[in-house]
Amino acid sequence: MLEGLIGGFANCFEPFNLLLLFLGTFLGLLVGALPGLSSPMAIIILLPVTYSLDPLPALLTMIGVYVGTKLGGSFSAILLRTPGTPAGACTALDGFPMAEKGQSALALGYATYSSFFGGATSWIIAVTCIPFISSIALKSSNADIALIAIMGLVMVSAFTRGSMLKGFIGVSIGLLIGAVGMDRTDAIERFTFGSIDLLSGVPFAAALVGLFGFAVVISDLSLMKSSSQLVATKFKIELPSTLDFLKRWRAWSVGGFFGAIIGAVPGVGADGATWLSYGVVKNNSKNPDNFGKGEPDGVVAPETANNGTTGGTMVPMLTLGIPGDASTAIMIGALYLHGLQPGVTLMKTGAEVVYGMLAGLLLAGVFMFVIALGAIRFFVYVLRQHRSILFPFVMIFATMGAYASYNEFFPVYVAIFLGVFGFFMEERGFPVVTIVLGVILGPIIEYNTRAALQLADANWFTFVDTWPRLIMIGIIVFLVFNEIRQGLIRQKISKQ
Amino acid sequence: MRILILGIFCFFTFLGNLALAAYPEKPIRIIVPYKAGGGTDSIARGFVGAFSKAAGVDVVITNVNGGAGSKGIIQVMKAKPDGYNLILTGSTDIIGLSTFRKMPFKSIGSLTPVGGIYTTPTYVLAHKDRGYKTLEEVIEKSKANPGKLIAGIGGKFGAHDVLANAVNGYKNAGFRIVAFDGGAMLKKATIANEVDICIIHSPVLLNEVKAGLLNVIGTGGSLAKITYPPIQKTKTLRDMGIPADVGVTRGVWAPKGTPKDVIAKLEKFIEVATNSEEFKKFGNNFGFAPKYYTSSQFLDLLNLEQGVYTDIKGKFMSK
Repeated sequence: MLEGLIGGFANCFEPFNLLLLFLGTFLGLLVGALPGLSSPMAIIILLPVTYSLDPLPALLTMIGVYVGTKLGGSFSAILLRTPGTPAGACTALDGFPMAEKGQSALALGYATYSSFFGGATSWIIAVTCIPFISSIALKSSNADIALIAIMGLVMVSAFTRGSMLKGFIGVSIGLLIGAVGMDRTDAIERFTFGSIDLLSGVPFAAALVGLFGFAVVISDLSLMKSSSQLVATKFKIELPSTLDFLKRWRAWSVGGFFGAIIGAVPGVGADGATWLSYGVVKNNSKNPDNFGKGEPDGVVAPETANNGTTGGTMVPMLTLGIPGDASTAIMIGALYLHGLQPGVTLMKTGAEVVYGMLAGLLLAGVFMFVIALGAIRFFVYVLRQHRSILFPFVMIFATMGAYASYNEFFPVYVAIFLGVFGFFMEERGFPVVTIVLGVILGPIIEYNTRAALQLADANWFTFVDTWPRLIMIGIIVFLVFNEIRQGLIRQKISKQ
Repeated sequence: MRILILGIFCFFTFLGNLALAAYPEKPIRIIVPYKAGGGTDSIARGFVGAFSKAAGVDVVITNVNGGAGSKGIIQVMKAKPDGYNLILTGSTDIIGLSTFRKMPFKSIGSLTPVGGIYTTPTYVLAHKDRGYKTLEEVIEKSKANPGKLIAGIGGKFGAHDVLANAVNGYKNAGFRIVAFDGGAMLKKATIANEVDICIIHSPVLLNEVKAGLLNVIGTGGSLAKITYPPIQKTKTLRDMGIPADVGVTRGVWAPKGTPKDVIAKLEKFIEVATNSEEFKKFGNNFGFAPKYYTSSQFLDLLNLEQGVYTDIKGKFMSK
């Protein structure tokens, strides 16, 4: 194992391989930072370019893009509240308010440190515990995935303090939007009104781009003439110190752990890990009310988890041929195209490439850190442009992102509609994040709950028949009761 | 006047022929009706390199996912029939949708089949820990415990579902059919030993079969073209008294109305690409042997498949 890894690093340090890894990471950061564009899109565009390369350099380029886009996506989430991924949406919760307070550089700095740290932590866990991570991927059944997603949804209560009712309505709307389309178990059409476009549901990228990106632009249109900056009136470049970052050890250790472990669960990993770590850190914070208003820990936790999932998703892909997300699914296709056979035999038949990819994963994190820290000034400069210049670009890229998700205009119309809808909802005090969370987690919960019940012959005890499930149920019950208790206490105080 | 009209007609016919003679003169777009990274997408990407060389122009893959694959099909259906808009997918993806759902396209007739690039049967796998060697053995066990044994399939209303219902229907097997959300989730559940049998297109999971983790216990058709000799003589459904051939043929379709000359050229490109060393190498690595089917052979295969789907639907899936 160690010998293989050393060989992997040696291969990565070949100048050409190193160059491609660097370029891939750079490209990933750039693509990720463009609102609405994502890692799978970038990798698929690169795929034909890598045909002529040997397998390792080709895959190293993709790994660079994969790692780079994770952080790049958070940049657009922090600066413009236009995330390209659900994970980025979580970072926007506190990243964007920080930017609004003129701390955009600080928020980007925390995100950069967190991504690097999360990636490195997850890499160490993944590489030293390959059999353990593989077994998590393999043994996480539909019941486990459903419970993880339900835990994430319960964490929604963390964002809805002030008005439980509005939060509940927001989540319900999200779940309703998530229910549109052909259901994934019985292929029954729901709320499609005969439209072919709606058969596969409301396009997910369009929901993100619309509810976050377009809604922000619409809400800020009234400020178009009054300010030359998008979000900040006062401005200075201020980066976090390493010591300051290390002091936030609770946030990054929770994020790193969730990233590596939950990241390995196929189908929910990357999305679930960020929201869960955010919720856990918030609920254990001394100042939970600061979350959502620009709390640095609210950036550190999801960002550490976000890049932390890279190790968690990569190991099952290499050892079992099971993709954890869309990007690793494309990489599996790339392995075939390069003459390798992904699956349980890959560690034997393609050991050189496997170890090279694992080594590349860590090195890409280093490149990402160096490039991103250097690029923060540039991003902040872009942010400082006048709204009349910035907004059209945000709209163009967000539209491109929505279009590219299906390669047609339908998602663009959906994004515009949801943008207007999101704007009015926010105007009336409904947190749109609750809608987004419902859209993201609703279908995951529904499909996996139904599949779990089908597998267990409709026996609901399947949700408590292993220790991890019992623990998860315990956490869910505790969180629900805790939320009710706190609600009652707040009610009592307000009456007094 | 007549001479003038005739002259104009001849001129435009000449121009038209010139245009056809020049085909292809710009990049060809191939739609894959699923998202990037899936099985169909991987195979399409393995194919386009050779296809592009044969055609002498760039060939671009566009993933138009959504509507269980229907969006991509409809987009090609509505595209200009000039040979520059094609679709590469599996026969079951078109036939399954139009047989079981109300769709604005038919299994046969809405698109022009240009050529097939390989056909593989749908096969039945079981985890080695289950100890099953043949499908008949599992059927007997399931008959004794109706509704207890799980047959995992990759999704509703496709070849997997048809095969599962054929086994249940003809043998009164009583499998509980559980539809997973795509092949990747089914693969995971199979490797994790969560299902009694897994019904999936060959050669998916072949590496796991080679590694001894899974056993091939039955098949919807001959596995002779699968590049792993130990499973090539696996019993087919027909050998077991189930009169159904279930599989998938991957191929290329063009919009209806595409000129015959263009179709003829496309056929040639597909033939060259399918028989190329490049695609053969890819297929061998993937686990299948590429085989070219002319447009008429491809159409025959589609008709056969449609017949099986209609038959099984009518007998066992109409409720």
